[in-house]
Amino acid sequence: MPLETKQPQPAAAPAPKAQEAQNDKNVFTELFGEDQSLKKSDVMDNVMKQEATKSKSFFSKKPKEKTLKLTPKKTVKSNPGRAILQISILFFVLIFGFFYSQNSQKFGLFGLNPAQRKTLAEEQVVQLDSDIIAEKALISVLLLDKYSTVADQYFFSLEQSESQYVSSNKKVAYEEDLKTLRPEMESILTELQDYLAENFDPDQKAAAMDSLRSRSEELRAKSGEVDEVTLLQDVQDLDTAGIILGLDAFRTYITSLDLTEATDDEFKTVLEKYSAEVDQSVISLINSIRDSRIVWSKVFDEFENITKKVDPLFNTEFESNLQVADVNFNTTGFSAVVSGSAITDDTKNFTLISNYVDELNNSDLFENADDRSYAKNLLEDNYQSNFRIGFNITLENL
Amino acid sequence: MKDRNKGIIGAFLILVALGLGLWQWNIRSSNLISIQALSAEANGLVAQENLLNKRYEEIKPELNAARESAGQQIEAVFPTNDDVTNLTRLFDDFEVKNNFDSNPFLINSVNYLNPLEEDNYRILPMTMQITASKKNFLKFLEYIESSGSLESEVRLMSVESITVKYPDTYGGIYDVGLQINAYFSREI
Repeated sequence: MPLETKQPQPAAAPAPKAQEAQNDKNVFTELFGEDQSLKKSDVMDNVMKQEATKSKSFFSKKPKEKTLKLTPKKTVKSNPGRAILQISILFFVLIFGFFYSQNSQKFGLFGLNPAQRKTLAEEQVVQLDSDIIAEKALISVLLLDKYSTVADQYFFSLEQSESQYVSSNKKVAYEEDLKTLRPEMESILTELQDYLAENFDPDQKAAAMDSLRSRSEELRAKSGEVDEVTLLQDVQDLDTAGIILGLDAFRTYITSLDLTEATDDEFKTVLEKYSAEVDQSVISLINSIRDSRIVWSKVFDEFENITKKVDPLFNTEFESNLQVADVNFNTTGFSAVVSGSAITDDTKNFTLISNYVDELNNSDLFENADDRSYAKNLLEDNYQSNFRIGFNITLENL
Repeated sequence: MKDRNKGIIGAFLILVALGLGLWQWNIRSSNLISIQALSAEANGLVAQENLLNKRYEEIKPELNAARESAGQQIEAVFPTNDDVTNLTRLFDDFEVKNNFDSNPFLINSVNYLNPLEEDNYRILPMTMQITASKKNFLKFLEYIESSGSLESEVRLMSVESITVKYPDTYGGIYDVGLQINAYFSREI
């Protein structure tokens, strides 16, 4: 701001107009005597003088910096925008810093923050989930093993109770066993259904299988330190639990069983599936060998029934037309050969043999019956024709 | 930069900081709520796991006892060697129990062949000649068919071939030739 400075004023000459005013005196100007104010005042004179010396005007002269003798004066500079910016930066940094410490997975200065705690909690839940799935699978293994034992007893008792060659006293005992064994089988499978009912997503299943695998490896590492038999059994249980988790079809089959109306065949299928698909123990191997066997008594019964159908007198105390000399059944190619003779008092021996061949082919258990050679002899009172019929055993209905 | 502009930038930065704060506050609140929910879920799962562990501990000893018992039965049913002597005694035992004058069962011969190796087990093949009534012949067939059950403790066997010579007269004796496999486990 320009500062006011006092300049020395040059002496002013009397203005001509003032002289004229002095000369124009009249009654009004001297009404109250001589105008002293005008007489004594030099204000106007000064103004007039200044007007006269225009070149020396006070306003027209700029002050020179050199001539200024400024005294240092402290002044407060008002800068609100800058202050707002500084505060806002500080505010931003504080906000960012606080939430970085709370929400960043990487921040670890003050222990666990909520974001890390959440991740940890999520991991714990996933781990617990997989542990529970693994535990359920492990219990399922034990239950299936138990079922296998009970079912073995049940089906043995069932066979014996239906056998023609078991005494009636023993049959009664076996039937009593059946009454207790069947509810036990149902109870085991009901509990098993609870453990296998859950549908796992692939990640959960993989995590559970990893959990079982790692537990199995931990146990294997203890080999030599603990009882080997127990250790091997536990390792086998863990491995089998992993197999169960991988077998969706097996789990679905078990859980879809309506146990209130389940038949013996369905109970047997559970046992067979368990032996074939899940169990890795010796019992499973034994069961798989047992299941692969042919029920020869059933085959033999069917053979005799067909022969009787062709000749109702066969295997009776009366002399029959169809006389079987021998029959051979073999698992190699599941082949069979029956040989004998057809003896008739007319000449229809070949017809009888042909009927025999047809009946064998009509059976559910046999197929491909064939006899390519026919010969007839005349005996004293009748005609005889020997036969040798080859056929196959169909396994589907056994 | 003019002071006014600095003020505008500052005000804008404050707004951004507030927005960021609000957004992050929501995330933090959401994290805290999730932690609570996950914690409750974890508690439930721990309780469930404890129940499962308890159930496992209940079944395990019961099953161990059954397995121990089954171990002895398995040794009888599926021995670790061919165990010819016990098998022969087993046949004799059946014969003694079923051979009667009116209802005969006689094992004429048994010939054990060399064991065969399979993938997971071994086989002891044998040929057997018997003379028996039809009833006893079928009973013997059923005996072999039901073998291998742990309950029965009868050595696991299967019939591979049967040749039956019919008697000339009704109610006569059957001559039966059997080829039988007896099973035993592989060497451990």
